[in-house]
Parts: sequence; C-alpha cells; structure tokens
Amino acid sequence: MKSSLRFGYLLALLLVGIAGCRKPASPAEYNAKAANPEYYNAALNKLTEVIIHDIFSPPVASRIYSYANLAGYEALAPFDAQYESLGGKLKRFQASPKPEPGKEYCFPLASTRAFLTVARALTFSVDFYDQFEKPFYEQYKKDGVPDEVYERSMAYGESIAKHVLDYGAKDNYKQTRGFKHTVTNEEGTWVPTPPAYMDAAEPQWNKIRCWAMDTCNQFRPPRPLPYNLTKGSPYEKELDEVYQTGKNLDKQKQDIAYFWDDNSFVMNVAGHVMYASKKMTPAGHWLAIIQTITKKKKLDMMHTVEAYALASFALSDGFISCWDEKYRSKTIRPETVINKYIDPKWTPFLQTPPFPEYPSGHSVISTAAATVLTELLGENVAFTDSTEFKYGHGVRSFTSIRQAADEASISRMYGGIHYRSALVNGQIEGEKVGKWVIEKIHTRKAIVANR
Amino acid sequence: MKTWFILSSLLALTACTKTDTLFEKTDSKATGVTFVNQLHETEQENVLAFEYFYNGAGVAAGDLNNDGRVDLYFTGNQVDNKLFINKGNFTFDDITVKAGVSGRSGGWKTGVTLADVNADGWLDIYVCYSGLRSDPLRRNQLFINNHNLTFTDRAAEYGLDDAGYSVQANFFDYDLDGDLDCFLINHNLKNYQRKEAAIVRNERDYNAGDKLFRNNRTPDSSSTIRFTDVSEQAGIKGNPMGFGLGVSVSDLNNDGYPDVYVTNDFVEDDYCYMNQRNGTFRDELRNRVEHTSYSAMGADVADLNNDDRPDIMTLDMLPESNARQKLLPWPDNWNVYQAQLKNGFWHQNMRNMLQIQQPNGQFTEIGQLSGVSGTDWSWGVVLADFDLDGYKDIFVSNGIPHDFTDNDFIKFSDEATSLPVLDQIRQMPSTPTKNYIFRNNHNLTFTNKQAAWGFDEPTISNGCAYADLDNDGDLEIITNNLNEPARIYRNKQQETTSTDYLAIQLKGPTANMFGVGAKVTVETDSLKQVQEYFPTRGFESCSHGDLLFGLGNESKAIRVTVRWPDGKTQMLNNVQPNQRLLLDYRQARVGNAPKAVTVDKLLFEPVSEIDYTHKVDSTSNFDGQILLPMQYSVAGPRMAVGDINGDGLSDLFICGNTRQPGQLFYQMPTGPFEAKTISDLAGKVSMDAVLADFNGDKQPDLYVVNGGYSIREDEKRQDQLWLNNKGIFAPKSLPNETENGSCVKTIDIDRDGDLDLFVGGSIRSLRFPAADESFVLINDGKANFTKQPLGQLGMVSDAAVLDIDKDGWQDVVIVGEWMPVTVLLNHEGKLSSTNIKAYENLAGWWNRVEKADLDGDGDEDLVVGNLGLNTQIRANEEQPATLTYDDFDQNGTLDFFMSYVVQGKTYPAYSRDEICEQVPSLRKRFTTYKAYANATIENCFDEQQLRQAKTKQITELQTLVLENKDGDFVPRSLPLAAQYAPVFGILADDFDHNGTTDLLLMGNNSRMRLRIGKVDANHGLVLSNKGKWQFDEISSSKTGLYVRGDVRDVKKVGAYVAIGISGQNALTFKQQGAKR
Repeated sequence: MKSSLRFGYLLALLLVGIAGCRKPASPAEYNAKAANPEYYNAALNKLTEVIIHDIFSPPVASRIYSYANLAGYEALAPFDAQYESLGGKLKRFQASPKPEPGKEYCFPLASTRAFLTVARALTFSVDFYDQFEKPFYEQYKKDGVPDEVYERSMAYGESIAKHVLDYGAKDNYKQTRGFKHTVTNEEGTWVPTPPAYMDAAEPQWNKIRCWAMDTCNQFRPPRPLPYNLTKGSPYEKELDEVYQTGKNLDKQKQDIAYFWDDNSFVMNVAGHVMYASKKMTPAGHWLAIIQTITKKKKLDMMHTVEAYALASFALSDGFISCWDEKYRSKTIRPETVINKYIDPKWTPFLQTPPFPEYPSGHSVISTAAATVLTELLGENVAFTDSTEFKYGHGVRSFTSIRQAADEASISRMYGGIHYRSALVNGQIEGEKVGKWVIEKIHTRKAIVANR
Repeated sequence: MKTWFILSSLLALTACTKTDTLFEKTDSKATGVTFVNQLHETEQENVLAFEYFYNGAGVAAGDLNNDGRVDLYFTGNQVDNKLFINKGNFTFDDITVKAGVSGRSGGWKTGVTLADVNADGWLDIYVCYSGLRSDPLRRNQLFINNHNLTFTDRAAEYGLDDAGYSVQANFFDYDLDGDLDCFLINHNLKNYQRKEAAIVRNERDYNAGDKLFRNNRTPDSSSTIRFTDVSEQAGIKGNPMGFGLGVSVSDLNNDGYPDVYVTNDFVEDDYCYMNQRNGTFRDELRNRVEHTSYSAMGADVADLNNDDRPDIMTLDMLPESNARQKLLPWPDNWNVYQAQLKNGFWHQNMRNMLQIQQPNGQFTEIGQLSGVSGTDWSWGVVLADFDLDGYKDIFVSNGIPHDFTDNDFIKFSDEATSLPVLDQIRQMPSTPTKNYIFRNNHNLTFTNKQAAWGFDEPTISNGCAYADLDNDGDLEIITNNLNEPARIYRNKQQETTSTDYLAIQLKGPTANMFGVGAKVTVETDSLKQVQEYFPTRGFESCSHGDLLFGLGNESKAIRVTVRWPDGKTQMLNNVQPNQRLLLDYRQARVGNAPKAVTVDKLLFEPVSEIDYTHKVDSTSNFDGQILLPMQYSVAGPRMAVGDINGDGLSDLFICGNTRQPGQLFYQMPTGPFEAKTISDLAGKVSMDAVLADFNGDKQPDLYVVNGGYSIREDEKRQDQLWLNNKGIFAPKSLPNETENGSCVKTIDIDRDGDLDLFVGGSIRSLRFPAADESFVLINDGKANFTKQPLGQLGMVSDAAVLDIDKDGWQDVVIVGEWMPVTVLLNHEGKLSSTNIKAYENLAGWWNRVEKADLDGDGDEDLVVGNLGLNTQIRANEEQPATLTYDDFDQNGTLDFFMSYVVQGKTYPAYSRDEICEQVPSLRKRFTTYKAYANATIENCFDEQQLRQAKTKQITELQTLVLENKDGDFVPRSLPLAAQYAPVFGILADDFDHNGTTDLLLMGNNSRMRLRIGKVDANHGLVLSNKGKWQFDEISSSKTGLYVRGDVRDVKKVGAYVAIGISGQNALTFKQQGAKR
C-alpha cells in the first residue's frame, strides 16, 4: 500500500514534470489527435489477428466483430452530437451508460478501450493484447490526454464494454455449444468433406439472437433445387456446371476464387503430414475492405466506426440468416456428389468448407455488407483491395463495393464449392438483410438520418 | 567351441560397463557396424514433399558366405547400403564396396529381403526402391550371390526390376511348385485418403499396387529364372489407395498353403489373402478380422499362445503417454468413422492390434487387454522368444524425427507456414521415443520390459531384425536407426542364466535350399511351440537366421517335427537341447494325411428357430452430448421367457424399439417359433420385459419397461402391462411414470403371495450422467399396482432378486454404470433408498447381473457383467476412473468429464478440442495443446467449482462372480477371456453335464467412443465350473459357439438358447442334452 502510494506519487510527479515541459493540450487538441481512425484500425487489426490465430469459424468471427464494434461505437457516439446509442434499435439492446455530464472525456480512447475490452473477453489468446495494449494506450498520453481524463475515459470504455458483454451473454451463444450436426446420410444431404472431414460448423447458429432482423428466417431464400441426378434435371445441370467450371478454370478465375477464399482454416493434408493455412474470415475481409475505403476517402473516426459497426451487424445477421437455411436444407456439397458419381479424382479448386452448401455464405454476407456500405460510402466507389496480400492472395481492384460482392459470390462457383442457385439466391437474401439493417438501425439522430 | 564362446563373452562383458539388463547395446566402434541411415533434407526432398521421408530403411540378418555366422546388411534411404560380414565375437567387416552391394547411387532404398532366389544354396539380396526419384532410379535390385562375397544385380534379367514405389518383397512358394515366388508391396505418393475414393478400389496402379511375381523356374531350366507378374490372375489387389507397409506370410489356416497378410497405411483396409490352393488368393479380412489398425505399419505373424495357430500383430501410432496422446491427433470422430464404413472401408482404429487366432480361423483382437496397444509411432514388430522361456515376446521399433502431426504445430505455428520449407520442418517439435519390448506372460498379456531388458533409451528406429549373432543360443536384436548408428542389442540370456534352447537349421529341397515355408514344432513335457520359416519379418527387414526355440528348463524328452512345404514330414524324438540341429528335407517322408479331427458333439448346435432381425437407428448420440462414452440410444434387444399359451413349451418376448415394436414368439411342437405382434407398442423403446403371473390366474402376463436414451416424449417412456387370458393379451393400466427404465424384476416384497415389481432407472434421457428414478410396484393380487419411488439410485442397468441376509424377505441387488454393486435390503416388506449396502470396492461399468448357485451351497451367488479389460480404460480402488460432472458453464447442459489412469496418473479422457467444445471458456485456460497435455481435471476447473461438482467412480472393471457368503458378497475372479469384452448376456446352466453350474458370457460393444474402441472379442465364452471357484474356458471348437456382434441378451427357452444381437439376426442354438 505504502510503496504503491509512493510509486503513484512519483509517477504523478514524473507526469507533471513531463506535462510541465509542454503546454497542456486542450480537449479539442487531444481529441483531434486521439480521434485518428488509425488507432481504431490498429485495434481492429489486432482483433483480426487473434481471430485468425484462435481459429474461429466464420459465423463466430462475425459475432465477435459485431460486439467489439458495437462497444467501439457506443463509447464513441457521445463524441458526436449527430449520433446516438443503438439502445432500443438492435434487438433487445438497451441504451448504454451515459458519460457523466459536465466531465471531460476522450471518447476516441473510450471507444478503443471498449472495443479492446470486448475483443479480449470474446477471444482466447489474450497475450496478443497484452503486448499490443501497452504502447497502444501510451499514444493517447502522448497526444496530451490528461491523466484524469485518461482514467475516466478508460473507465467509461470499460463500462460500455461491460454493458455490451452483458448483452452478448444473453444471445444464446453459450447454449448452442457442445452440439454437433447429425449426419443423416440421406441421399443429397450433407456429409463431411475431404480432406479433413471436419464436423459441420455451428449447426445451431440460427438460435443466436438476431441483430437487426426480427427472426432468423425472416429472409428465408427459396428451396434449393431438388437433388436429382437425372441428366438434364435443374440440379444436375448446376452440378455439371460446377464440374465443368472446375475442369476448365483459367488463371483469372483461379485468381478470383483464391482471392475470396477467406477460409479461416484450410487443412493441408499430405499423408500423415498436416498443416493449416489460416487467414481472415469473410467478415474479417469485409472489415478490412472498409478500412481501405474509409482511409481512401479520409473519413473521420465516427464515420469509420459507424461503417464498421453497421457492416458488422449486416454480416452477423447475414450469417444467422444463411446458417438457418443451411441446416434446414442440408444440401450436399458438389465435391461429394462429383467424387461419388462423376469423377472420383476431382477436387475443387478451393477446399470445401465444413458446413452444408445452400445458400452460399459468402454471397449472403458479402451482399449484405455491400448493401450497407454502398448506402454509407456511396455507389461507384472504386477501390483496390490489397488486404489479402499478406495471406498470399494477391491484390484486386473493383469499380464499386457491389462489384466486389458480386465477385465474391461468383468466386464460390469458380472455387468448386457452390452451385449457381446458392449464389443467386444467396445474393438476394443478403441484399434483403443489408436493406433491413439500414432501415432498422439508425446511428444518426432522426433529423440527420432523415435525408 | 563352447569354451571359446564363454571366454569371448567374458571378455565382452568385462569390456562393457556391467549392466543387468537382458539386452546390452553394443558399441558401433567396437563391432565395426558403423552404418548410419543419415537423412539429408533439402528444399526438394523432405517430409512435406514426400510423406514417407521418415519411414527409414531396413536390416537383413543372414549368412551370406555360408560360414555359419549371421551377417548383416543395412539399406540406407539416401546413403549407400552396407554389408557387414560377421567375423565372430561381435566384430564385423564392412565389405560393401568389394561386394558391390551399396545400391544404386541416387536411388531411395527401402526394404531388404534375403532369399536364395536362384536356388544355388547362397543367399541373394533383394533391395526395394521408392522415393521422389525417376523411374530408372526406382527399379528394385536383386543382388545375386557369386559365392565369393561379390554380388551381381540381375533384377532385370529375372524380371524383378519393378519400378513402383516399393517397400518390401517377401519370397515364398505360394503355389507349392517348389521354388520361391515374390510378393512385393508398394505404396502411393499421392494423397489417396479421400474416403470417397473407394470407387478406385478395383483399379490397378503400376506404381502403388502390390504385386505377386510367380517364379517360372522348371527343374531343367534353373539357369534362366524368370518371374512373371501374376497379380491380377491371382487376385492380388493393386489399387492406387495401397500404402503397403508390412507383408507377412504364414499358413494361417494350416492347410499347407501359405497365406499373406498385408498392412496398409491410411484409409485402405489391410488384406488377409487366403491361399485358395489353385494359384489364387482371396482377401478374407472381413470374414476373419473384426477391426484393424488404421495407419497400419509393420506386422508380424507368429503363434503367441502356443496353441499351434498363428496370431497377427499390426502396428500403428498410438502413444502410450497421456501427454503425447493429447499433443498428437487421436481420431475420435464418429461421423467420419461412419462415413468411412459407408464408403466401403473396414473398421479401423488408431492403435496396435493383437489378433489371436481362434479354432475356426477367425481372429479375436485383444491388444488393449494384452497391454501392447500403444507403442507410439511404430515401424517394425518381431515376435520371438527373447528370454527363451518357450513363449514368443514382442519387440517394436519406433520413432519419428519430427512430430509433424503435433496439434500445436498444425494449428498455431502461424509464422512457420511462411518460412522456407526447411525452416518450417525445423520448427516441428521433435520427441524421440524408446523402442518397446514386451515379455510374454504366457496368458496373452505382456509386460513392458523397456527398462529391464535394456531399451530404456530414446532413439529413432525403423527396420528391425533378430538373429543369434554369436551362436550362443539366444537372439540379438538389430535396428536400423535414423541419423545415428544402427544398433545391435546383444542378448545376455545365455551369459547370465544358461537356458536350454534348440537352434534349427533347415536344409530344404533343390529349389528352396533354405527351406522357406517349413513349419517346425518343438514339444517338451509341457510345451508345444511352433515356428514357420518365413524370414521376412518386422519392417522392411528380414531375419534369415536359424529358427531358435527357447526351452526354459523343460528340456526333457524333446520331440521335433518338421513339415516341409510339399507336406513331407520328419519327426525326431529325444533330441538333445542346446545344439544347432540340422533338419534335412531328404530325410523327410510323405506325411500321413492329417488326422481328421474327431469333434465331440458340440455343446450348442446352431438351429434357426427364431426369425427376427434387430433394427438399429443410425443416429449419433455424440451429436447431442459430445463427450458421451458410448451410443446409448441403441439398446437391446432384451428378451423375456414364459409359457404364454400353457402348452408346456416356453415362449419368448423380444423387446422392440422405434423401428420395430416388441414381438412375441411362440414355440411350436415342430418347426420354427411363430411370431405375433402385440398392440400399443409402436414408437416405444422397450428396455426390458418380464413374463409372470400378476393376477393369480397362473398365466404369465407381460410387463414391459419403456424408456430410451433419445426418447424426448415423457408418455413414450410409460411402462406397459398386458394381462394374459389364454394367449390373448389385454392392456392393463399402470401408475404414471416417465422414467427411462432399464430393467424389471419380479419380487414378492411384502410376502403377500403375489408378485410385485422392481423397475431400475437408467440414464435420464439425453442427460447423461443424470439418473432416472427406480421404483417398486406393489401388487394387490389382481394386478393393480401402487408405485413406491426409490429415488435416483444411479444409472442402473440390471437387478437381481435374492434374500442375501436370509431374513426371509427378498432383497434386490442393483448394478449399473459408474456405480457400486448395491443391495437394497428388504426390511419387513419395505425397500428404500436409505436401507442399502453399497460395495464401493465393486463400483463398475456394470451391464448385467445374474444369480446362480455356483458353489452348490444352496444359496444364490451372483455373476456381474462389467466393461472388461479390453479398452484403454483402467481403474482400481487406489486409482479409480472418475466421472466429474456439473453444469460448469451454466448453459443448461451437463458437462461431464471421464478420467482414467494413464501410466500412473489420472487424466481426462478427452482431447483439448473436445473439452473446449463442451466448455468454451476452457479455450482461454488451454490456449495450446501443450498447455492441456498434462492437465488433470483439477487443472480444468477451480477448487470451488470442483467442490460443487458431483463425482462418480469406477474401482473395478472385471466381470466377476460374487460368492454369497454369510450374507456378504465375496468377489471371485474369472479367466482372462471373461475380460475380453463388456458382458451383456449371462446364462448359467450345467452345459457340460458334470453336475456344476457353468456360465455362458456374451457381450461386446461396437458403439463406444472410438478411442475407447470397438470391443468385439467375446464370441460366446463358456466357462466350465470346476468347483472351488475355478472356471475353465471351454474351447469354441467344443462349444460350437462363435458369435460376432453386440450381444445384448442370452436366454434359455426350453431346450434352446436364444441370443439377441444388436442390429443383427437373433440366433438360436439347441443345447446339447437339454429338455424342451
């Protein structure tokens, strides 16, 4: 006690000393610096790194991003008079604790603190954050955030994080652990796929509380094509299309397929030798795209975080909607059917991810995200996406956000893991999810939003 | 001669540091055997590019210069092969260069075989080639012996220069035309593990497929020997899924024609080729073997229990230690397993298998009971008598330079994948392991002698062979090691304890002068040992020395019999021990045709009286409770017996399930039983039933216990009663109950002269390990029942009624899973959960209890059917298996963790992935597999959490008989065969008609977690009661019983024995001498 007191005193002296050398920064000054979107981006990128390391499946990753970005948003909203809490808008979410009136806050710091606190709670390898956070928070001090404000903002961020985590604790996630999908082996239904024959991921994901949607089946797509191997049947035609496309895949299509792979866990098996290739999930990829575009457009932190948050909800609802249908229709993957009936040696260009085929997850969630982002960031926003480069996936340019989503969708056919109707119907489903998010989740106060 | 040996061994002893192990590692500098199979990993050639990069190479032991001493030849994957000539006294000369046998430069050498291919009385050397090398570099070589320690490669000339990816050749005479043919195993390079690939099963792949080459030698054309590939016409599979790693030859069925067992790595099944005696083979694996190793590596075939029937051991990669079991993958995915079966592959599991041959030529797998199931990443196994006690022991070579299947490396070495290949490989963990050696305990169990026998040292060994290198009458072991000198382990048995032995040298017929295929039997007063001379054994290796028989101290009246491949035999009586005995084919005579075995009348004669097939749902309970020990929804069929129609013939009721309602079977005076349905049973899972008179009309009524692990609807678990009126059953209402009952027994609890009922409560549906209530139903004499609940007594599986305390009131003994044998004492007409006696020392995984007077003292003893010892699970009173459970993460589901002892300490029976799937917060506690590798249950939860949690335990795993003695139960053990599998069916009767009550035990369980195993080694065990609690197994050749499958009930129905088998046809046997 005594020594810590003395230490604190010394620290205070030291800080006073440092501060003494400079003119104390005004709230406007330090907030301007602290509101550098790069800080938030750095925190987000750290979360993505941990999600990759810990190997979360795509739906679970979208859930983590949503809670972290919700916390980041809620702690930042008081910073901008035009924005407001999402309490009462997101399903069963209540308004966050308000900052103490009349007290000075650095909301950008509260925002990253809230974000990282949630990220830490929902992921496993916390040592990643331990290393990251020390220098990270140091930046705010360098930016001139006074100690008192720093402490208050940190505490505020934590209170928002707690609020969000309490909310998250009631979304049925816990209750859906420890169950596997029952493989029925009925003709045309999903069975585990090579090479690792992993269990189907998240069979109960439709039990997770929705974000904006009313129910998981609100945007239920039409039934998949009935499984029928008779030559010329609609299903057989689509199956053959996957097979032929795979056999005649040119370099450009390969590049497209590989670029959008976004398989968080590809198991490379050669005999007993196995190693995993890990990379961003579809949700992680889309948040990285937002980072690229908001940077290019030089958007401020509030707009950036708004885009992250709303896109996250669209992605999460997209997964819930999509997974609901996946385990309803339990459609068999093309690889299984082709190996069994057409060509035992055929392998898809991409590794088949471990869950039923219909609809295409990437089609649903990419289109949902693109729909929200087009609304927020504009039509015909050209951009170059190099975020997959460090995972060995090249660089691609797009004329619009929607074009990127369209490419993500068709890439699944090139990859040999989806039939065409899973893409088409998935995109329609995703667009509905995206539009619903825009309609339901108003970040900006009524007057402003009513444009 | 002998003095010279003693002197030299004394010298050798004094030269080495004195140890008291059976074997002693020799110094390569002293022996001159300096061979090192040094691997050089490059960017192009490494384990990531070539998955068999670490498979190592072989060693062959044989006398290449006919000087009476066994020489050694080692293959090197990248380095030159080496030939060392034995100069005696454990010194060797490297004459490789002069001999011209270093192998093809630039080739990747694998297995080596010694055989006198050109039949000139001198051993030749056949070397296999594989690797990422071009075809010309992969052509196998045949070094023909020029009789002067030089050799010439004549493989092309002989037609044996195969360019497939070869592992090992085995030379033997499959068509009994007198000369040696060649069976070659190959492997594929490509990833053919896709389970859908079953479709390629009938293809032939030149490089990957196994091949049989027939020797076309004719007596007059001995100079121009040609081999022809006859694989296809001989029925040898050659598909691209073949990853042959072991090829063992033995006359498995003793018909004089050699058979072949091939082990295949990965998903392809092993092959058990039975010689059809017409130049063809038929793969009879599925008829003879119930499950195999998964990644089967080396194999050996020899008679381990001296019953004159060859047994098979195959290797896999299950580690013995808990930590390595947790660090490396150990598959336990039911759905993947089912997919594999559905795609046409056989039952395969990741562990060594010990297949003991039974009289009918089928095999019983007891590797886990025997204690040899886990020897880590294993390559070669040789079965030979190292301690000369007359029983063959087991040596296993193992080791891998890098644990490339290390779970942390696979999942979390994020940076490694971006590194250059060689750095990536360097980052893979490396854990050298010890080779294993097991002593045969003479009862089909084995004791690990790693330390006591001198193998207490980590090393990486691939090929292995044995031979008596110093001709002193015991067997040395030689291993080919990776990146370190090959090793010779000197056997000191004769130096320390001079032990009688007999070495047999064979002199065969013209075209097979070494007598390959001869079968030698050595008999002493108490032992009969058999060895077949098929020298290609172990992994990529060959042990071409004398046949050595240990005689223990039983050397009186030795009789030696040899049967040559053409059937000629010679018998020698009164052979002197401790000599090298030459058996010459020329002294053999045409043998008498084997005597027709006179079979006494079988105790059980198969008949087909009951036409019933039990149907099973394919659902997996592991999907809902992922840590469940076994599938519980597949239950039954249990049966009830009674004379329903009063015609003096016993009838039968077979319990049903959702796929098929329960059915009555009426015994007819002639012809099969007649089936009849009964109303109102559809959609119910009936766990047990009883036929007994409840309303006093002397006609048996039917009570059925309904339940079912996966039955969600309460009303479907309501038990049912039908009253019998001259064979017509009318439903009668019962008190409401919704328990998942498991058993029902009649008991006159209140001594009012009518029958009351005890109903045992089992696992609460979908809520393992929560138990449902047991209860009694009190009868008013007119079948009006009143329910008296007894509360949750445990996961009760069966009950027996007897008056244990002889107070005149009948008591109930209950057994169940994870619970003690428990007596519910009847206190003057009342049973209650408080008046009980629980035998905590008999807490078991009990499936059944049956009563019978086994000692003829007039009271009833018990037979209790347990899990047995043929699984990975071990438990005793000091170190019980435990089941810890609670809703740890408070999400509404019970989290339970089974733990059992592994190498002295108790660990959870689950992988990190599994426990983290059950309780996701554990992922934070165990961020790596390493962090979990040594975790006990105490490391998984806080003290507080564990204090609140509940625990069940198991202290006894054996099926036992319990002697009823002075009001107490005294456990008595049964022969080991009773522990081969879980027992679910118990029948007591005097089967052999000698006046004592014998036992028939049946069971098995093929629906346990894969890591616990498909336990299927009980085929109907009949134990003859010899009195004084001695029981002797009666051979299945006498009982006539050999039943495969999960037996769930055995009942005597008049003169018949009815057997209910899960998912199979019910079987009926007529019991010898039994009345209807």
